[in-house]
Amino acid sequence: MPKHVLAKIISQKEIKKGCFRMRVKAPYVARTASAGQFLHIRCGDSTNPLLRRPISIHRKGADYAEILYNVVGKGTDILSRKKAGDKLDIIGPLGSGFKVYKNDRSIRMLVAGGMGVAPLLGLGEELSRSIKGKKRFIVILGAKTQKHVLCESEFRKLGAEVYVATEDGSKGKKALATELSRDIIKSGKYKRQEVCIYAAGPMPMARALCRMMQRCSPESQISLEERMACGLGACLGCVIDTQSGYKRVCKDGPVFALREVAFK
Amino acid sequence: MKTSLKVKIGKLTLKNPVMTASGTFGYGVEFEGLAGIKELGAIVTKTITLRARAGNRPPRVIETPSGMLNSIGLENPGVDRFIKDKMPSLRRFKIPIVASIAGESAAEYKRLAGKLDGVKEIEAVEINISCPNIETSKLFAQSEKSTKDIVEAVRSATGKTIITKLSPNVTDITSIARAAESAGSHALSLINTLTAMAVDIEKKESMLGNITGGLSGPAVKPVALAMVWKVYNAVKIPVIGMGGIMDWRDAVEFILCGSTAVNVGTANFVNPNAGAEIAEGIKKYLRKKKIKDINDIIGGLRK
Ligand SMILES: Cc1cc2nc3c(=O)[nH]c(=O)nc-3n(C[C@H](O)[C@H](O)[C@H](O)COP(=O)(O)OP(=O)(O)OC[C@H]3O[C@@H](n4cnc5c(N)ncnc54)[C@H](O)[C@@H]3O)c2cc1C
Ligand SMILES: Cc1cc2nc3c(=O)[nH]c(=O)nc-3n(C[C@H](O)[C@H](O)[C@H](O)COP(=O)(O)O)c2cc1C
Ligand code: FES
Repeated sequence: MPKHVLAKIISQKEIKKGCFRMRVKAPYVARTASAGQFLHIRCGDSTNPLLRRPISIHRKGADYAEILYNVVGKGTDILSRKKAGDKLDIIGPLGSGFKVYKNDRSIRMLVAGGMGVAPLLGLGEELSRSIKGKKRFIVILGAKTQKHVLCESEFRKLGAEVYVATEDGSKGKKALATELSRDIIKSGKYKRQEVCIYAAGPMPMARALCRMMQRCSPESQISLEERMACGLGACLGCVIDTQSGYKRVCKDGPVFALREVAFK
Repeated sequence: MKTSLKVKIGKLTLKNPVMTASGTFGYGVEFEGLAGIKELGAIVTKTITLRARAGNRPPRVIETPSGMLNSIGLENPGVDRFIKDKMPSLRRFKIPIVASIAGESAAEYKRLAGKLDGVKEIEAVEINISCPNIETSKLFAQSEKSTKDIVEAVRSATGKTIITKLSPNVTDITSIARAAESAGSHALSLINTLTAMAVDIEKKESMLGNITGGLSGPAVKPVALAMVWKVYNAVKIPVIGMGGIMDWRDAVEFILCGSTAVNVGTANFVNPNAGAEIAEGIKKYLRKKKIKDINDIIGGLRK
């Protein structure tokens, strides 16, 4: 059950140009949220912007939750001006997050395109806690340039095997995250059917990934984005096409089984 | 001082005039835990059709200055599954349910009304003849004759209170309002959304998958108020006003312009508890103004 609360902002930092990490005091969200779920945030208090903005839960601690976001428009700009001590109007946790299946054979591969890294770090933390033994997971971070690579050290601290792909080749491989993950799978190091993809990123990446990865583990999942109004599953405004018809990103998703997504 | 917020719409008595607008509150359950549902005067359901509808191609919503466009296209499970799957939870709220219906012909509206007539907790039927997001080139609400035919067809199939929902996309809304009244509609609700667009100049395409959509939210309020005022002065049946109501002040404006009840739509997306807060705010306003009965200020705009 989501809750509607005014959460106190604990801190806000610009970690890269135009990219902010905010921590809010939200014990309920911290207790109940799973990786991949999101908060529906009222950025301003006027009618412009009018609607809430969906932002993934990035990480959580004992009584706080964090978001990681890029300033891309009015709403996120207002958000970025908030200071520690201010109140943030949030509804959450919302949506259905990533599922971690107990499967010893599974090679978990987290594929992050740009800001898609936000929910995946939370998943990484969940994986490092819930998966016993020394079973690592692989992380592919895709970014425009070296300056845009996010959360690399955080993932390494969790014991993940991290690969970086940049569009201009300024760091790691000159490739898209999807291309790099495909190459790693193709290299034969892992059995394709055992590679369980956890992906998040912009729509073009999602499209490419769905095309490339249909033969990976059936447990593979992807987090998708669509514009939202209610965020609660009521208005039917945020649907995407799937093998079983239109599904609501805010309620049935944002995380979907890779096999379920239908791109035309 | 005792303050009464009770209003009557046909045979339907509401404990307060605040209802949720069709399509903006789902079937109620989606808002459970976030909205004071029991505090509402009534819930109007998402529009129901005879057969299930998948709705329009995404993207279906986009924000515009102080407003939003939607092109949902009446996605719903169809009347039979509505009764089977959605009514059980709606019943639990123990507040009046208004079922919104839409068909492709008067005969379809009649069949829909007939199917819902047997469902006890549905206390009224709202005839949606004004959804801008369906395939037809002309809305029924743009023709006096179609409006009349549909209202008569529904009347012949149900003894429940009938509300006809009008479109703002007309040359003279009062003529359509009178057509619905003369055909036996017990009340009128207005406005549905205004046909509208937004364009992505980089991609040179519409922001909506369906190209056009319907505008709602604060941006439409002044238009809606004027239409409510005109219709209030043209008919004798109650008017249910809506369009951009975000708080109790907006609601009082609509009441002064002749709304017996109001619908809260887009505001639910911003504040899921908007409806209950608006009902409470209206009550405080009446107390402050020492008005005993809300009915004393309906249409009370000084001239
Ligand atoms: C489930 C979900 C989780 C998300 N998580 C994050 C996150 O963790 N970090 C983050 O930075 N962003 C995230 N987004 C995207 C974020 O919601 C948008 O960037 C934000 O709504 C933009 O608001 P704005 O007012 O600043 O921009 P606007 O002025 O509204 O739009 C600016 C641009 O942002 C894009 N945009 C707007 N709304 C959306 C949307 N709903 N989805 C995708 N793109 C959009 C459009 O391309 C537009 O051109 C998420 C979106 C969804 C649906
Ligand atoms: C997402 C959305 C879906 C809607 N769906 C319906 C619908 O199914 N039937 C209907 O009669 N009106 C529908 N409407 C119109 C509203 O009921 C209302 O008439 C309109 O939005 C104006 O009120 P508002 O500005 O308070 O939202 C919808 C509006 C929105 C925003
Ligand atoms: S945003 Fe309303 S159903 Fe998803």
